[in-house]
Amino acid sequence: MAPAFPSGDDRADFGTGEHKQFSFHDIVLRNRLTALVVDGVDFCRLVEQGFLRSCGLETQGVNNGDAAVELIASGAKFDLIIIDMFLPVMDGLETTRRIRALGERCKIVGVSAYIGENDREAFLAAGGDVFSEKPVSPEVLIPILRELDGQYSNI
Amino acid sequence: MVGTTLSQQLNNYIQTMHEQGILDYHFDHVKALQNEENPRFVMEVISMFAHDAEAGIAHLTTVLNSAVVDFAKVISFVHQLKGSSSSIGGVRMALACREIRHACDNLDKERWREASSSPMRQDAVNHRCWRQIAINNRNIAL
Repeated sequence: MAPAFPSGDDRADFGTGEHKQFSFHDIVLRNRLTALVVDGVDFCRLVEQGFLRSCGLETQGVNNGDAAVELIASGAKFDLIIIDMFLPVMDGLETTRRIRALGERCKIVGVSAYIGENDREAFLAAGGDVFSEKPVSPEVLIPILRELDGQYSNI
Repeated sequence: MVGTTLSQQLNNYIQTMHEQGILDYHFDHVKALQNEENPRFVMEVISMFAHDAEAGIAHLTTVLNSAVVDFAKVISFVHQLKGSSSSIGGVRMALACREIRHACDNLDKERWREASSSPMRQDAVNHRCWRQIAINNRNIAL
């Protein structure tokens, strides 16, 4: 059984050492959900938005933290924000802090190609919710989307 | 008939890359994003990745061959390369990048020389595999 809520680890270990492969099609949304993807690498942003759209979300993408903060400050609303920690000009941590400082309370998932010892704690302290090694996998994303979609009756 | 043959060739080529440990299941997720509304998605994504990877490896090679290596730049290039390769399922390249990053973090010159030489040359070959997939995919679409 996959964990109901992501632990921040990007792999679902089922005790056998085997990796159970989920699909981004393993979810059917009941509500309209929107997501913002903040990634400085065009190719990565394309893939991340593709995964989210395949789950049924409407997505928008920006390639730097400044643009993300401006978008939020302008009143744009999202259910989910995925932020790469390695961004040009303003990094993902600072972007997360500034988005929270604007009063935005949506779910923020931080992703990074490489997770150092204190990276997860720093991201959570900045106001992020889930931290995952890149690429964000279905095992991490689908439980989050189900939660946002109200599919967990105990929330 | 020709299209089927090309499609089967592509599938076989991809399976080979899986078996050689060049690709992991993330590539299957990316492949699954292609549909009738977006019939060229895989080709576009692979082409973008191959271009970015080629540029990234070229930058990295230049920095590593410098008389005085700027480890901060190495970390930056390797970080981006790892993120990109992981995102498309290029697990072998991602592992090579991780090895280089570890060596840089420890400023272990012997380790990063060893980590950067053989695997990065191997992965320069791997990225030619990506180009081949993109070419095969384009040929099927035509």
